[in-house]
Amino acid sequence: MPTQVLIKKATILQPGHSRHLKKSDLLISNGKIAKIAASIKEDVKTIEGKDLYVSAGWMDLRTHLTDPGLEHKDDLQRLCETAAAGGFTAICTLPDSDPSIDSKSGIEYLRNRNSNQLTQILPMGALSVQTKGENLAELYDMHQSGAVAFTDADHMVNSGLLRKALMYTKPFKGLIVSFPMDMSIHHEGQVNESENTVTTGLKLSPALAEYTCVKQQLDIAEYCEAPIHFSGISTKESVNLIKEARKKGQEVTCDVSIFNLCLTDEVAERFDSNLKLMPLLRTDKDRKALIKGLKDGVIDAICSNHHPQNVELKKVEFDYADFGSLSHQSFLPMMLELEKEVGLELLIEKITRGPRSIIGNEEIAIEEGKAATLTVFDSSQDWEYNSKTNKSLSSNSYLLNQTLRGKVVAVCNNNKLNLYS
Amino acid sequence: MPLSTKHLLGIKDITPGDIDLIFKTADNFKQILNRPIKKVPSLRDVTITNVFFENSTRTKISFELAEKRLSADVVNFSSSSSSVKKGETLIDTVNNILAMKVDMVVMRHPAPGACQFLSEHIPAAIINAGDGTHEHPTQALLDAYSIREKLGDVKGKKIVIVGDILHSRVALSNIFCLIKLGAKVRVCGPPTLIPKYIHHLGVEVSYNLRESLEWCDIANMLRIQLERQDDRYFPSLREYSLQYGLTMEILNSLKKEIVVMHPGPINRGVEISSEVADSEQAIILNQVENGVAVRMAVLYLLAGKKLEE
Repeated sequence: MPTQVLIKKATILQPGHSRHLKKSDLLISNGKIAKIAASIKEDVKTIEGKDLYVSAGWMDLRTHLTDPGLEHKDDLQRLCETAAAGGFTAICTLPDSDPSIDSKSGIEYLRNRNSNQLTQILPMGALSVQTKGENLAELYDMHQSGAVAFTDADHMVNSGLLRKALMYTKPFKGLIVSFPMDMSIHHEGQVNESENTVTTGLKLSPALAEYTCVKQQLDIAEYCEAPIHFSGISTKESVNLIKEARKKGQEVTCDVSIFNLCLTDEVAERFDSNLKLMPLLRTDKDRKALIKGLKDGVIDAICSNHHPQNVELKKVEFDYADFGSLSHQSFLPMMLELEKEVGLELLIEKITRGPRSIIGNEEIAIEEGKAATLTVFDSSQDWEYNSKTNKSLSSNSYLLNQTLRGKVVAVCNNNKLNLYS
Repeated sequence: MPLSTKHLLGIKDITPGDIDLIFKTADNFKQILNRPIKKVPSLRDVTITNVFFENSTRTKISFELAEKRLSADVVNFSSSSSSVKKGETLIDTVNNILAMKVDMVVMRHPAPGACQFLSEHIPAAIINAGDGTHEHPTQALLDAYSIREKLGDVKGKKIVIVGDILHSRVALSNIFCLIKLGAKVRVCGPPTLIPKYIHHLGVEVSYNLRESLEWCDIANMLRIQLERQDDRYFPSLREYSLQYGLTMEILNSLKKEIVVMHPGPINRGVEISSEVADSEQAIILNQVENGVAVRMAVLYLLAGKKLEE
């Protein structure tokens, strides 16, 4: 790792600052931003590119955890290396490892194994013991140990338990993250119910399963006078419900998966298990509403929903395949597909300032003398996403073996720096 | 003109021209089936395996008979879906069979899309003999062929498909096939058994059996598939039968004589009464007979396509 790096002619993405959208040179020295100027001349390792950008390090709010217990999919080191190659300097992990992260020791395991790394793990703890949805886990103890939020990952939390969790965490301001899905309506659906999927013969799950749950949980959070965060919303109706709740002054935030912004349920016809995703892909009407939600500020963050799965769980009949796809490394190319619809500045905000504000982390400044927590990318660089460049032990991505546009070229955090040439 | 496809995975993927070619080829085979010597050497040296991961009686016999009438070598493999799910993968199972130099695979499987999945991973020609609640293309072909035989043409005919549309691969394949051939299609059944977006396929939806029977030229009464229902979609068979069971009394009260079809096996007294099943208006056994000729045509045309490669 070089101790000094010069980033040449990069457009700085730092909304609200006079430097925003200006092309500058940045000198990184010993983990700090040593100098920012129109032109810097130093005989050090140089990063150059045709369309180079530099922003605060990216944060992901939804990474599935595969260590402990599922290291054959990715151990912590692999998970973090994959995240870093995708531009993420921080990932909030769901507690869905095996066993799940439902105690202080689990949180400490993640914190200790990952201290001062290039990509920092910010663990979410389980809301209920073993995410079984029965009894509250030791939320206070986990909070004290560094859990950034509490969730039962992809499991629905029943109304009674959610009410208890929202009330219980109020004194220490623990954030409750909900994945809204009414399981009795979802009924083990494999794909969204719509005109696009009626021909597949697959079990269908209506958008109703999500938004009826959002509606109910908003009421519960309002009753508890507690904040709530919805993770991975995917329907037009959910966006509208959250918008209305905010208008009333309710403390509610939400994020959306990159897949739901780029894809629709029209892909179901392919029966490609790498496109079997949770939250389910919805219709284009929903996709457009999510885009509008991003622009209107209703949706605070975009998450990767990165979920490594071993080939045995994927190279099977669609019905039998597990949900999930890799997405850290393909995140930037997917996000750039949205550039025209959303605008690059706003997209970057949804993976920097947006997620940090949800979990109460400080905003990262691009200032001389400050620690360098940065993501540097070239928006027009093509690269091959294949078994050589894939950092994960898993290979469950529909984008694998394709040429992708948009490459993360450097990531800097915690006095560590990686270059991806 | 050969078929436009290497496999028969579903009716959705084939053209009206393909269907026409299959029907014309089936006409020839049907003639042969009525001769004293019913066997032809068309598929000599072609090995076909019938891989059935779900129970089947008539479809399996029909395919096997079609294969044998064409002089193909036939191997059968049956397994319950659960043992396959827990143990060997589908690709491994079929590749093991293919290692024994098999040219074509006829497969029934409980998972929708399983045949498409297989076709993407193995080199043999695949014929879908029913994949879960997705498609059952040869059933749709033989149904349409039987309508053509009975009424001269499918185009312009009004067909109502009655019953569990939600869990029926027969319904989906029939809808694709009949619409491709220019028929007017309606589905009828309890609202809990009709997919919400089915009208996007160009079909009408009705919950009223009598009114649908008055409308149609042909009623295709689907079997109530209790084994596909992981949940109760109606309170009891008795109540289903009260609303959607076809009896002689209803049939006789209609203003015109309609044709009654059923893909079998029949639940007598549930979706259709014994009297109706055995009546002159029912063409249920003609469907079974035509099944062999239609399957011979499909096998013959796909084998030809395979040999061309």
